[in-house]
Amino acid sequence: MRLDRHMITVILSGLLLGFFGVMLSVWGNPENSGICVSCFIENSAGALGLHNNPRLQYLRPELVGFVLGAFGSALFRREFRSRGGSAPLFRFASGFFLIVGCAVFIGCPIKLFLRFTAGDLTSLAGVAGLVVGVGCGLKGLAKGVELGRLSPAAAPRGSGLLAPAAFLMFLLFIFISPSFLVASEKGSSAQHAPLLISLAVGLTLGFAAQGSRFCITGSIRDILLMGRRAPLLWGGIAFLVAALLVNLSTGRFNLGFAGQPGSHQEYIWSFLGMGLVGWLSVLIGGCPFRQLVKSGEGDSDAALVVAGMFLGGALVQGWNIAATSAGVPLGGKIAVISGFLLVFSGSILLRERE
Amino acid sequence: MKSDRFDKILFFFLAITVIALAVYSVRSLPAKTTAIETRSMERELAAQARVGLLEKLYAPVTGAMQAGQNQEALLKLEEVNTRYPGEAHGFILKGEILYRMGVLDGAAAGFVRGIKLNGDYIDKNSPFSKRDIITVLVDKSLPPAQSAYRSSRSNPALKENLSNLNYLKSRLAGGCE
Repeated sequence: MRLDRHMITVILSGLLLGFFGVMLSVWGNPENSGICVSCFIENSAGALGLHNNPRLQYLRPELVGFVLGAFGSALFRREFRSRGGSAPLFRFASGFFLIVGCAVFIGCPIKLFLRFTAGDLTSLAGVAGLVVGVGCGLKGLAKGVELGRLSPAAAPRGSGLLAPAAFLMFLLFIFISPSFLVASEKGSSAQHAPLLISLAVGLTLGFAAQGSRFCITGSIRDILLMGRRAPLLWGGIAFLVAALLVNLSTGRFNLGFAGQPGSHQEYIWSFLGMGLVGWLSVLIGGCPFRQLVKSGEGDSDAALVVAGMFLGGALVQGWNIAATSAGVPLGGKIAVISGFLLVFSGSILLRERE
Repeated sequence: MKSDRFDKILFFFLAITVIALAVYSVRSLPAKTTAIETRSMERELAAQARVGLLEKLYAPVTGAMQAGQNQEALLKLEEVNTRYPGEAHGFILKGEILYRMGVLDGAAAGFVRGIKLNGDYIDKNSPFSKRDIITVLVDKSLPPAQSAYRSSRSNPALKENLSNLNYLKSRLAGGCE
């Protein structure tokens, strides 16, 4: 391991994500959901009136912070660049199915490891699924499945500003509360850390993650490809250690399979849900968190994934796709299978053959 | 690239739209407050109406429960349930009555069916919150249910009871769902 500047940035990002991931729960977010991009998307979609589950409606300031923090970082580091134009509709659909996979597991890859470091052993099925999914995605890339290269030429000038502008608008919504914005008064969305703390944490993590390129599925991908030489391996370890220590020191570690917060025991579907997320993340270049960060640094393809994620956040609630502690509904199982249909058919159609 | 006259026109109209947007946003603020207050009131009215209606519909049941006549309360509940078979409140009351009668597995099953239909019953601040009684039920029933299941894994009733208690424990623990 060479401790250069990039390595330090990656490790710092991992530490911050692990620390704040648990601390946000201590400060008021739901248990084991201090940071969960898919939950935040579902909550925010509800707050914007895209679904009507009265227990899941709150415009999460962390989400806004991730994008605007990444935008600020990209400007600060002179890395902001409008780019895009690679298989946009496939990416949009992938964003939708990323949320489907997360909703069936109950959590995004960050929450997966937050649950794991809180002693939730049901998350192991998700860990296995994510690793296998990333491995399959890599195999696909090696065999020529390619969405095409991002190109500054293919994206109209300034198009990369649209995602930060949209999230700037959401920031205004948070502070001026327009009449159409809804906020749950009960259920998990009524549980949240104080607004300014959530926003500050989001901005900090977005800033750090843009500079370091830290991402959960990216870490797994690099470990599979490069082993111990991968900087993201050490970022991932820093994330796990920080989250574990904070969980232990705040009395949130509860080892076991049964009765864990926001979890179910349908292991096959947890495996498949996270497998779908891992596979899609490799194809589109990052987990849901990374897509938000990339959309903040001018990647309009990532912004399309984010738009797909919002549609997913709305429909997993509206179409009874999301799993609960009671298990995975039939709609969730059908949606995951449909997601694999997209992966397989997309891989066949997008594959470059010699 | 040099900016020409057309660019200047575009910048001029851009400035006008920014100002117009700001003006209309500021003007909408008082209306926004009214809309939010109206919506909050509508939600509050709907919640109170539900509370009032449920209290009225299930009054014979809760009356019998308060008098300590649990068997009578169960009979009254069956009568109400024939009219409103899918109402979560009925399952929750059944759970509470069975808990009072010491039928803990039946109580857990009732609470599970009710909470799956309406998660408000597990919330701390809900008017009909049964969080305290469910917490006691889980604490009391879970250890014996686990050992009973371990000793007879093929028994479906024991398996279902353990699954119900684990579900209740998971909902008590919170999480985002």
